[in-house]
Amino acid sequence: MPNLLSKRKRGLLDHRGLWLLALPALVVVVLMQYMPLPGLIIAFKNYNYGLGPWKSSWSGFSNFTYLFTTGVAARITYNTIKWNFLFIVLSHSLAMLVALLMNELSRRSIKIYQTIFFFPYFLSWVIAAYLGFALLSGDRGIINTLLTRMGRDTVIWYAQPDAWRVILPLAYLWKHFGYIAIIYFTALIGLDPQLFEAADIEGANRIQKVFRISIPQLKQLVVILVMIDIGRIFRSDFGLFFQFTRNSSTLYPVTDVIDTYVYRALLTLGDPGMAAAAGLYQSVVALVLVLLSNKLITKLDEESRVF
Amino acid sequence: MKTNRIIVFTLLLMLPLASVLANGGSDSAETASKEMVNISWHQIGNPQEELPVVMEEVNKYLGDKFGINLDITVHGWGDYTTKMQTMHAAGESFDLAFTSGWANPFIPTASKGAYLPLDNLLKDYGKDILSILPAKYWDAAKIDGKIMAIINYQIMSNQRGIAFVKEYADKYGFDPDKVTQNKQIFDFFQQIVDNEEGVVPYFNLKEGILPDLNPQEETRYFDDIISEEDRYIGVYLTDTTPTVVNTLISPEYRRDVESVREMLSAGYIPSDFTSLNLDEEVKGREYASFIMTRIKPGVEGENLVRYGKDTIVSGLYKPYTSTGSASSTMTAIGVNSQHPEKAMELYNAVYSDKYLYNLLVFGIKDVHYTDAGNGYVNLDTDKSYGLPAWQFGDQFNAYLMPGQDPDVWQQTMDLDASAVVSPLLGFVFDPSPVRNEIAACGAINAEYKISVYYADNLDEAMADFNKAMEEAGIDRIITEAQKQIDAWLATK
Amino acid sequence: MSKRVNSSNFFIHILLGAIAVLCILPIVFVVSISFSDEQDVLKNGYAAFPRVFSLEAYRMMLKSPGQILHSYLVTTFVSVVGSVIGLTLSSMVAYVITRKDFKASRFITLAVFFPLLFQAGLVPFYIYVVKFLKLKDTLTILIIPYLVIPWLVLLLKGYMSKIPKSIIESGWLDGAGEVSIFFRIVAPMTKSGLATVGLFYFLNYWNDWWLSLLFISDKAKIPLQLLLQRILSNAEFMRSTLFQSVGVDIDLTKLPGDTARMATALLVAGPILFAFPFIQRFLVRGITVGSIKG
Repeated sequence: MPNLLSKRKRGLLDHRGLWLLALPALVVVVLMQYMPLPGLIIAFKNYNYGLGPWKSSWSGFSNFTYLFTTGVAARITYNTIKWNFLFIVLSHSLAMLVALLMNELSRRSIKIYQTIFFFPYFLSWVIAAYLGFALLSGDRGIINTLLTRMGRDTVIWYAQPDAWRVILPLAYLWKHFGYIAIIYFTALIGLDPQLFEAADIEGANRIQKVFRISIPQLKQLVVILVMIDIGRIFRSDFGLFFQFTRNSSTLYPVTDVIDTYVYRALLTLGDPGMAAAAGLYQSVVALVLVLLSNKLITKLDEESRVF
Repeated sequence: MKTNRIIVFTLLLMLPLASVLANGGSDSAETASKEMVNISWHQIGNPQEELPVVMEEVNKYLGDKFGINLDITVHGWGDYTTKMQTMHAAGESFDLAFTSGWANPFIPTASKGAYLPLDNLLKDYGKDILSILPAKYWDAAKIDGKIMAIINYQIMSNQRGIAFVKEYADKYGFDPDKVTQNKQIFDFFQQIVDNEEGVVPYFNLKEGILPDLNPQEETRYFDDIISEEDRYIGVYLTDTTPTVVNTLISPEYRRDVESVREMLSAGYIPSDFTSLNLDEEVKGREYASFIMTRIKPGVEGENLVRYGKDTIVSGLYKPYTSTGSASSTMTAIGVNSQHPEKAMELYNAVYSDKYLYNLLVFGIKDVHYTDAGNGYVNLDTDKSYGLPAWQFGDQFNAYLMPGQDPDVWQQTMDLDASAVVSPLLGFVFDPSPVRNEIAACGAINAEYKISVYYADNLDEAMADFNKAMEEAGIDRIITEAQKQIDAWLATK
Repeated sequence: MSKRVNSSNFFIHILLGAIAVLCILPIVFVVSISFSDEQDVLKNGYAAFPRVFSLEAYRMMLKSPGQILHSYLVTTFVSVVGSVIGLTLSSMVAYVITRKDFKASRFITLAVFFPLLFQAGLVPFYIYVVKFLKLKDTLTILIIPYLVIPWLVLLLKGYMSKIPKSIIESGWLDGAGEVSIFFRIVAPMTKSGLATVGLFYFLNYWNDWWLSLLFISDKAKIPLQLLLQRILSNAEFMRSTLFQSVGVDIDLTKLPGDTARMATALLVAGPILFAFPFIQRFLVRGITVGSIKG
């Protein structure tokens, strides 16, 4: 028996078991994610439908230039990063707060809250856009009707970019905080009760327990989730920026992001090569950002690093 | 333990269900005999429950006559473009497919090699098509001098107009036919604003379409070169030595923008008209008039069906014929088609055979429609069926529907005959040399053309607009377009 | 946990309650509109309770119930099979990457994380599936692309990394292999995490219409989302003025309006909204099969 244990510790026997556990998922990932990747080659091609991805002629980097030639390039890059960064901070803070609060309550009431917080996640942006329009529409919107009743001037919300600096985060939070809260809450109820019992013995109060146990215990999960979000920081929630804003062009200074720009730019041409170029650009930037943040995290706290 | 067993049991139950689901729909198509040639045809429209029934009848007819077994797939309105673009990209084989400027876009797909050149096929197998469709339209379907799609014959000209609700026009003694100036229309709108609380004077909606309001004009100013949406370059319809201009710096454009701003500030159009959907809004509101993006004979009867209102429709300018209007509905043959000759033979029959045409469009007599005499049909039957009539060859073969004038097709042809012909009719712009500029300009244009309506300082906003377009390369597009037009003129 | 009677609970309830109202209010409107008379909604706007009650929207959507019921079946099948297999595969690999003593774990983490950044994109993926895998018009293609979702694997890793090493070592001492350690010890210990991630898998399958839009044209395999999505997007397309210019004659009153749109949303989301505690339990039991014996 001790012999077996030391063998395991040297990592001889267990490798087969671990590989066995990892293999099915790896096969799926390779088959579904890696195998189609060579197709990205079309980002560098003059795509011809008759010739297909391999035989089409090379075009160098010319498929990329539309992303950078105009003054819009700076704006869409800035908006994309700014909004995603803000969304990450806001949604994770609110979700964490709600999860911690829920953790203080009895199981029965939690079930109800948990279910309700999840509701907005089920409504597609298309539906949310209609509800938003009912609130914000110029002549008949609920908000403008209230403003009129109060004797105030009405606002053309869909032509008022500044207002969307507030509306966008609210809409995002409304739709997304619920499921992030559930993620955190799940982690909290999974914590070892002994940790809290020990703190009880030391006479810690509720707030102290939150700061000394709950939050530190969630640290690794936060790091992972934020890292995932950073991996997507150059892509945007298209439904929010396109459908929810009704693609209203007067709002672009605030709401225009890379994805909406690419959609608009390729509307006439529908060129697969140029679409692929945009995707590749977003991927490369995200890769750089992820690697940098991983370095930073490793430096700050070796334990929490993701890779 | 019990629940575990239930789960395993459920999963086991799911397996045979999978095979049921998998085999559900595949037993219908394989019955045709071996010598038949299968022709596939992708169409846009509402998927039809009754399609298999109609196709059985169609194939009985086609099988005897041509040895063809036709298989029509109808993709939904919203799905069609995505479906076809991915099929083209993957080089999937199909025989016939609908194409146009507004769905499965013709120019980018044809110039990227998705379709077969048809000149020889038309000569050999499409003689009737060539004799029916007037020769002057064919250029609109040419890329690099080769015909890449078959143009369907229907209304070929384009004319925008305003539909005035009769009730209000009568009430205020407004006669749309006598209008010669914007001012007369504005006066009518003002009366609505003053006297009719809650009634929208004019619905002029949907970004991308400039709210023309120039009844005094002989014709619309410009023919667009890239697309309806990308009207930032064009040539004057009256310019016989077509010179490409930046329309955004033209006085006509300036006047259009000013008239929209005037309508906005006077409350003639809804304050957020660019984010509204015309057909959605008109259902729930009272209004005195609305834009019609394409008018044609019989349109007032259609308005009665669509909106439930008696309207008087008045054209905003003379109808004109352009490459865009002539090529608005077409059918192409796929580059990987197995039987292009048979496909052309079939399309030739659809184009010229009145029975076949109406069978495809209206379905089977006494099942999907009844004969109402004098060439009219009645669609009020238990089983509903109907594919868009302009998707099958020659629309002038169609039975008449209730509400249409007996001579509606003659009126349509007369209208076409009277239309102004664009100097660019037959010129097809190849966007690929300047695709980056078009992508960038398209994005800028979509943004600024709306924001100039709302800008505090119009001069400044227009200057910004033009500067951004220059940065995006509008001049390079103009140069390229001029070059292509000159080359095209040289071949004529 | 012990019952704590505390006045601060009251404030927590007030705060969470307020958030809950914000989350629930839109749903109330959706339900109300779906049961309202279309004309009334158009004239007088949205309301929290139907002013004029009508079942017309549902009657219209359910006009041919055969196809809808069949599509429910397709969606249920894909969601159940997909989420059970997906959760199993993902939690297995997630466990492996929590094992820092396993040298390959870092490589596997990278291998799973990388696709989160790089995707082939629409056209290459389509070509690959249609030309190489030849999976067009199969239920398989609705299932396998979502079996291993990178961010959910990492989320599972987050949940599992809390398990003390000593517990795994005690498993070794009992002579258990890694596979049985995972199924008998690790999985049961992360039950709540598995339930949450399993739910996400289930919803991911349930809500997807993208794969079916691309790959499914056979009526017998159309899932619910695509079916309803199609009804809505067709109506949307027909409403656009672009369409007016083609000059097709359609009675606009027959197009689904606001009421039908809301009814659609409820037909899609309704069943899982109420079944989701059950779904969670089902998935957890599914993956921890055998754990009770140990």
